[in-house]
Amino acid sequence: MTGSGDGCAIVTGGSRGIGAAVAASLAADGWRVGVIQRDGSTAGDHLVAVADVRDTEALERAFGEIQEALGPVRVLVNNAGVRHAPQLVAALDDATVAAALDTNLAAVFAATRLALPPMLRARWGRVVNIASVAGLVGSPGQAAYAAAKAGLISFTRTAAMEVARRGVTVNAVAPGLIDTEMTAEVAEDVQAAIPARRAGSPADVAACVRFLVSDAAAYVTGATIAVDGGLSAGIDPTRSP
Amino acid sequence: MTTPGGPALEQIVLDALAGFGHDRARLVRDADLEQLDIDSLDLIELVQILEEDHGIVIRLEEIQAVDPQTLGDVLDVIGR
Repeated sequence: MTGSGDGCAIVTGGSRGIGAAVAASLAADGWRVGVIQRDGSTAGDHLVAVADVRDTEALERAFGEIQEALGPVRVLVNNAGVRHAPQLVAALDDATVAAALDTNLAAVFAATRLALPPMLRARWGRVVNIASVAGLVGSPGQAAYAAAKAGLISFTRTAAMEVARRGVTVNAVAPGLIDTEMTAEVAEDVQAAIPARRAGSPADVAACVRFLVSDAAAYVTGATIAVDGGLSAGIDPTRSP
Repeated sequence: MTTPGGPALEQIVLDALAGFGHDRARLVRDADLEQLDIDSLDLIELVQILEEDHGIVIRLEEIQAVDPQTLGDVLDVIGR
């Protein structure tokens, strides 16, 4: 079964970039979409609930508001995330590390904890975590972000195993260089290192999320799918450094 | 909402567990949770059903705190 008949999809950080593309694609598939974001700006035609995902009480209120209006959550896309100013590990301060772990990892625990009970009860649910290629391979200057995203991938595996027998899947998507505001400052020459020779688009990521949410992906769980144009697939020895 | 207790509460819990697919005939107080294959996910769902459908608020941690071995242990902690 698909849960869209009686429930909703919640996307955190869904007002722009990858989150906005994911929200739009889920809506196109017939999902009622609720977006949780830090400010009160609109997010397409989607219902918006305002919360900083690091604030568990605010997050709980946002889940309540959305489910009150749109029905029980059947799909959760944990998308809200932040990179930090590039800094070497030797100089990375505690506050930056804590902020990266709070938003990119701890908030996912809280949101998933809120979403799972109704999914378990429905015997159908989809959790998709937006990780990063930085969680798969090293990312100099982004140690806290990368560690949080690697943690998110690990969280995905364990959560998937715990709930698989209830028809609930938990997967991660690991975008590479995607054209968004968050990556605008990433050097253009990085594109040359991407086997596909181009940055991805938010729609590339949304297409993968859309598949993972669909009934066709019912047997895919605990997986991390890289959407990175081959960036994390390996090193090309024929390219000069 | 008046919260049910005693036999009514027991009935609610047993009905819920049967609804999860457990054999109703085997759901007796002395039955071992492990042998019944009642696990933490069942308890999470049970807590949710008790609250949403019957107004009985109990936290999963309260059930886990008594380290329940039998169905009776679960019924006792919910009925407290």
